[in-house]
Amino acid sequence: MTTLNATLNRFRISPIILIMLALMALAVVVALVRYLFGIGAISNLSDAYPWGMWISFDLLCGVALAAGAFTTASAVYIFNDKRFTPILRPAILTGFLGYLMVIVALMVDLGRPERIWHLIVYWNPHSVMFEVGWCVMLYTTVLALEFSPLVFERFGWKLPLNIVHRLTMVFVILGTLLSTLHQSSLGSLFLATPGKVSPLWFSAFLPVYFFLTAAAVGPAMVIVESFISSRAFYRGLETELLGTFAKVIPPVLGVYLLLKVVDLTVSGKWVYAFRDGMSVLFWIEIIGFVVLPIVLFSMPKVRQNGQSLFGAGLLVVGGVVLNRFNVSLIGWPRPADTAYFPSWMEFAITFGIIAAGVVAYALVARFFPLFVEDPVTKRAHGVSPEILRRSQFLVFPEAARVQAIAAIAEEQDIAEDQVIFRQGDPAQALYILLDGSVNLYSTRGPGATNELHLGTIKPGDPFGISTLIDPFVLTASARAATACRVLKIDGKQLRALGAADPHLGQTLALRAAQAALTRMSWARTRLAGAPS
Amino acid sequence: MSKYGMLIDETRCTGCRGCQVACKQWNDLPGEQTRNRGTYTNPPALSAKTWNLIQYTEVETNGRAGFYFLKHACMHCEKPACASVCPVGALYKTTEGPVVYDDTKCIGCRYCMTACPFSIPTFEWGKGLLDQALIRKCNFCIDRVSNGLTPACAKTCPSKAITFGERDKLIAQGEAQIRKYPDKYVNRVYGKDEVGGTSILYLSAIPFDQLGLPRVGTTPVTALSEQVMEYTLPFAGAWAATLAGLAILFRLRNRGAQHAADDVHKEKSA
Ligand code: SF4
Ligand code: SF4
Repeated sequence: MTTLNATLNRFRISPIILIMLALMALAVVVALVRYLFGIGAISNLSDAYPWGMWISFDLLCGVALAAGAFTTASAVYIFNDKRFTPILRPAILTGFLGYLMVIVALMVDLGRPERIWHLIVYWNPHSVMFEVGWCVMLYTTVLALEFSPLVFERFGWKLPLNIVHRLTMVFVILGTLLSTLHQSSLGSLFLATPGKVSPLWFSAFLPVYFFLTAAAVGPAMVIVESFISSRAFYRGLETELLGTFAKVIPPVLGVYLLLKVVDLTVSGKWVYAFRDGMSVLFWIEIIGFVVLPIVLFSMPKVRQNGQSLFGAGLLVVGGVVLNRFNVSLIGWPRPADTAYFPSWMEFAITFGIIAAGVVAYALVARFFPLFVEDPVTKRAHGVSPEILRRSQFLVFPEAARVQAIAAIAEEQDIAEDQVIFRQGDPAQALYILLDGSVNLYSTRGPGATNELHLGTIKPGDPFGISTLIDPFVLTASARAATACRVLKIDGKQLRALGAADPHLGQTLALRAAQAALTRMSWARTRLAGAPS
Repeated sequence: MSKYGMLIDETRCTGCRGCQVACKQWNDLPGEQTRNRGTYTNPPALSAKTWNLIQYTEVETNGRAGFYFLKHACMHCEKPACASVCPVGALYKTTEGPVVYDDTKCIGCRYCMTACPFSIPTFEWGKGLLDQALIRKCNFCIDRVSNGLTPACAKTCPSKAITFGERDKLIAQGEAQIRKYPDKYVNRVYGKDEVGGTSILYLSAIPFDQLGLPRVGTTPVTALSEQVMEYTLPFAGAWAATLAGLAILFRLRNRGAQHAADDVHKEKSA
């Protein structure tokens, strides 16, 4: 299992992961206090505020932000658009983890978590909460099944993989059906509180509103999550693909907006929109998080750029979060002598659960085939220009130059002890070390004792620079000292770029020469100091 | 329609809190540590330990300050929102009238608290897993009523502000009282039609919302949500069929496009 070990090595405990682990530990402690001394011991919830942040955020937002799974799955399988296949697995994973996080949060928020199974045996079909409970259970199961191919592939279990593949269509239709029911039923929850929710948000259309906003935030979440994971895992960003996916957002939000306007007009509720603090919240929600994203996502310029996609996606996500809080918590006029703001321990639970989700995502990304190739072009999309910033060697002020190089680069994993190239061979590619450590050495004959250590490559350093220097023959060998991740740039293509753009070619040649000099002087000092 | 109810004539109430104490006694509820908040209402609100509370209101009428009281507890609605929304059916309406709670079913989701138009149910916030937290509210002394006794509060009231009896008769009695003393009462029996009718009925000298009873309308608050739940299954069936239909449609369309492309290809190579 050397590959597994190699992968384990590569799962660096980065500072971010450390923070996440600390947050999780804190949440566990707080949860223990809750199980020992009650919900009142850790929260500011009260008889006046039976539902607080956990319901508004962990449940309502959690489910809405998991909508990327069903929107992407229905795009690929129901609308049969296979272009979106590369973003399907990450979207399913986000949805799956999202639902698991909802369940964990419910196990803290429910007064009697040990009785959760009562939902299965005691039925009250009049209750929207009954539907919500069943949807959580069933859809989590469906998501687990949709996620299962990653596990089966990882361990090479052919039979279950075959079975799941055959049933994909059934799962996707079931998943879309359950998502529709679940997203809308969360809105229906508040149909039972007509006198309590502000008229600005209360409406017989609440289930429709919840579904439409979920359908819009699904693609937005996929965009946001792809952007973050492209940075976290140094992957390419499928900008074109995401831009295409984003096209569904304006029409969906448009229908939502239209319905909302008609609804407020017909029921004569516009007076509430110009009255108090809640009116302000209402306008922030409508202008900032509905109208603005509609405009932004309609602009090709925004859809073609990773960062603007990300920004506009964040707006939709923020809008749905604000909307869920308004419907369930902030938009409730309450008696003046009662107040609620989540306690730090409520935040601790929420953040702990989010942290667990992040860690789980990172683990799956490392150990399971989460990111698959584009089935159409059958090749990696180059890499994100962002990654190039990790090496001084490839920094150029001009975005076009950086993009050109990024387009011909690819990422590679190299196992510990693997020889990357040998002295005397043609220098076919330039390498940049992203992660891990590589030894350069020169050979005087066979056997490790005949190796002369020439230097150690640190993350960010280039190696294989001979590919930029005539006669393009390697002057040293390179071996991975630990499991590594490298950026590999084809030498011929790079030189072609240099030929087409002489300034680029010159700069690269100069940098290669400098790197060679530094390396030589390092080796000379070492030789001089070495006992002969 | 439910059998029993209570007619509470708030003009007779002296604010002695006898019912508040009787409720605690019969139901074995502990006292609460409270502090002076500048009002007679004490403890400040209903809680898991206090199911029945006298609320004190000062209102100025005709230049004179008046002191008014509200016996605040569960209304035992004819169409109880708490029971309608409870996912496991822990709360339910009995044929005798009381809305009661099966504490062996409750999962503690607190939807009943959220949905109750009178914000009556309370929760045991200070109990952990071992102590088994539960929802708490007035149960109309179901144990007394089903054994032919009157509820503890009605039994205790020294000024006879609380009349226990059959709901229909109590409504008639209340309306007769208003007709007899039209200057003394607001011309309405609160609870006759509120949220579809409640078992607890009120007579008051001042508008009910000033007394602390909310304006709730006459339709049960869960009318809409129950209707949506009724449509859910048929909708699910139709939606599943639509999705399957769409899937087939798009598959065929893509296949068609593929064939067309292949044909062009063949023609070219031919
Ligand atoms: S007043 Fe509230 S708790 Fe009492 S029966 Fe009606 S809905 Fe239920
Ligand atoms: S808290 Fe208990 S009684 Fe209230 S709705 Fe939930 S399960 Fe039912």
